[in-house]
Amino acid sequence: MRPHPTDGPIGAAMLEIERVTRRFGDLVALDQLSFIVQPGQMFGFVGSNGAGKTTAMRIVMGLDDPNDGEVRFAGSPIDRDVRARFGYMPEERGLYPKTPALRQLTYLGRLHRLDKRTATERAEALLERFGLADRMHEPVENLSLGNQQRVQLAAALTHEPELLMLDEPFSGLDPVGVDALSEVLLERAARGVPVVFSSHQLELVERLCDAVAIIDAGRLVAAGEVEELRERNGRRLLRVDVDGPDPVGWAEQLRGVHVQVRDRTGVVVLLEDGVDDQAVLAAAQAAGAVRHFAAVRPTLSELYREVVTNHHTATETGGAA
Amino acid sequence: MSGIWLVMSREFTERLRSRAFLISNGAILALIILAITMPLLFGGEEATRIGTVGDAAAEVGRFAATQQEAFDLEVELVELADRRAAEGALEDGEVDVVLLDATTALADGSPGLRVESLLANASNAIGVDRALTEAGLSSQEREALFTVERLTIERLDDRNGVDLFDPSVIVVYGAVFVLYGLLAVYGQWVAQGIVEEKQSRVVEVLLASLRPTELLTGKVLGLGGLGLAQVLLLVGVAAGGLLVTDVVEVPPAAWTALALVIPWYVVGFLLYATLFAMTGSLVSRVEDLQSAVMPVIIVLVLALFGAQFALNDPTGTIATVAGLVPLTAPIVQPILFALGVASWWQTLLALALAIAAIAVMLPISARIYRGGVLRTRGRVAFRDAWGSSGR
Repeated sequence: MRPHPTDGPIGAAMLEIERVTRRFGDLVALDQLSFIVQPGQMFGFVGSNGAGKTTAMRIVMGLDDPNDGEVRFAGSPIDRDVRARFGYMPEERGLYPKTPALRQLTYLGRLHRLDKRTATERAEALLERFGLADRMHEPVENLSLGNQQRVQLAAALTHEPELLMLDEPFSGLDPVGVDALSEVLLERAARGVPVVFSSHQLELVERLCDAVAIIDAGRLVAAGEVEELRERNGRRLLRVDVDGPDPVGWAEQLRGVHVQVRDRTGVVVLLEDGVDDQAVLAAAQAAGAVRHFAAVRPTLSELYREVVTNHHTATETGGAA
Repeated sequence: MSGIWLVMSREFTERLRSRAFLISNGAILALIILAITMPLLFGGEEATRIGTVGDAAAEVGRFAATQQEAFDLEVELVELADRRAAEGALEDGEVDVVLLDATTALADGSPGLRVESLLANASNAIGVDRALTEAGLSSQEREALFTVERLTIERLDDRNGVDLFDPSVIVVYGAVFVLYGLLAVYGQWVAQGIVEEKQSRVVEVLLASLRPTELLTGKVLGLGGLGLAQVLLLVGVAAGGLLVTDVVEVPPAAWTALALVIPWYVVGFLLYATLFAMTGSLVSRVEDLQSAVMPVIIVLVLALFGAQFALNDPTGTIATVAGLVPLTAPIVQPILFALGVASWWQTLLALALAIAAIAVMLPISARIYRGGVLRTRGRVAFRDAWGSSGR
């Protein structure tokens, strides 16, 4: 009996990107980019359009060559045989439009060194799983964009890759598709496969990922586990709701306290270093009955905006100096 | 190796599956079969039926029958009782013409120039024979008089001994025309396949597990193999048809020339595939392909003109040169061979030159392909593709 596709570990190797630089003429697309993806890690690759995410992924997949730096998998430089065990989903989808999904996946699976029977069985299982059981003999161009996307993802998974590189895998999917895809990716990560994906949907990245890399203009501006980034961020934000005649005014008079958000029930305040949060609580209680008093954890989007803005400021001043 | 094999079998079967391929192939086969059997259906000239009334007329008729081949006619003799029977037979269309006696013929309209000359010649011969007998010449002497050599007519455009209506020339010209079509179609499929993979970005997925040269080799061999199968099928059907229907006498040299179409297809396809592959690598959208392949198509059309030239002036400089230049030789050389003006060593030299050209073009084409295939935006300059193929 063939093992069920969700069984057993597949990968246990880490991906290392070390000081990778890529220039296109005068444009520096990647500038000494370094990060590490651990086995079994869900890794979010975040950055604005043109930041260099796709270039970095193409370099890992051998579709582009760095001017400098190195990419290693399981400690060694990557050759084509190793790369044949990677799964890749390019930014712009790559399928033969006129070929039916099943025949296409079988072909791609065989190119990734599977025998015909295994390739067919795995392709069928994946297409069924993505709800395409009854469409697998239709040319891919007849499928909706969302379904083409599912076929594309199946193409990256058929050969049970030891590393997944997915460029914007969630764009264009409906919520059901997003859930199905997330589930498959988490499953692969649980089997030891490092899963790298880029996305603009930061809430999704925050929900799914163990770690992220944020890049801006080809440079890494932050990398690590999301919780770690929060701690490193070090900003103390408090949400305080006060039941009284003036739920906002009390905070504006405190020294070292900056009001970030005001609304009907209260405020979010940023505390400068050295400001005692108990003093803030006392001031709030003086203004009325305190209904809510808690630290606010910055979301990934907030962290992202902040590090990218800081990076811009830093490079601008750096450039002027 | 297995990668090349997979790409090859995919290219082969995907095209084979396509409806356009099956329809166009069926059409070409139908045309060949029609061309071979057409003479059977329409061309088989009917025999000329000559009626004779009486012994004198019958003697002229018998003499005419001995001359039928010289006049390119087929003659059947019908004996009729009298003039009334003759008129009736003419009106009913049972006979084409009736000899009433040794010097008179009766016809309904004109029986045709050749029939008239045949009968005039026969009547004249019988008359002269009779006069000579009366003059006392023996039958041997008379026979000697009649076996003088016939007049042959030389034509100005016939100096090189090329008969454009020679069946072997027609067969080979047809084969070469099909060869031209296959080179154009399969060559463009190579270019189109490359651009489609670029345009759909599937090439990025493929190249994660395949070397660019493996992908290109598989594509060229797969399509070329399908084309070869088609050439074998067409040549086989044409040869089989010629053998079975037996409509034209095909001399042995024509069979050889027909068989030579097969190696010329192989060599011609490989050579043109390197050009078409380069063209495809430099384009990113199928819409831009048509104008990009134009120069290659023009070279192919020039080769076809060369074949035309070779028919008119097979020993001329243009024909000789076009028969040796690698890009035109696949179309021109088989014609020269069929016409009997090219010897074996010329054919072998032309093949060797073409193979040498392939050996030169292959690495260039592969380098351009490697440099261009991942540049999926816009047109790629030759220089950029050439320079950036370190991979």
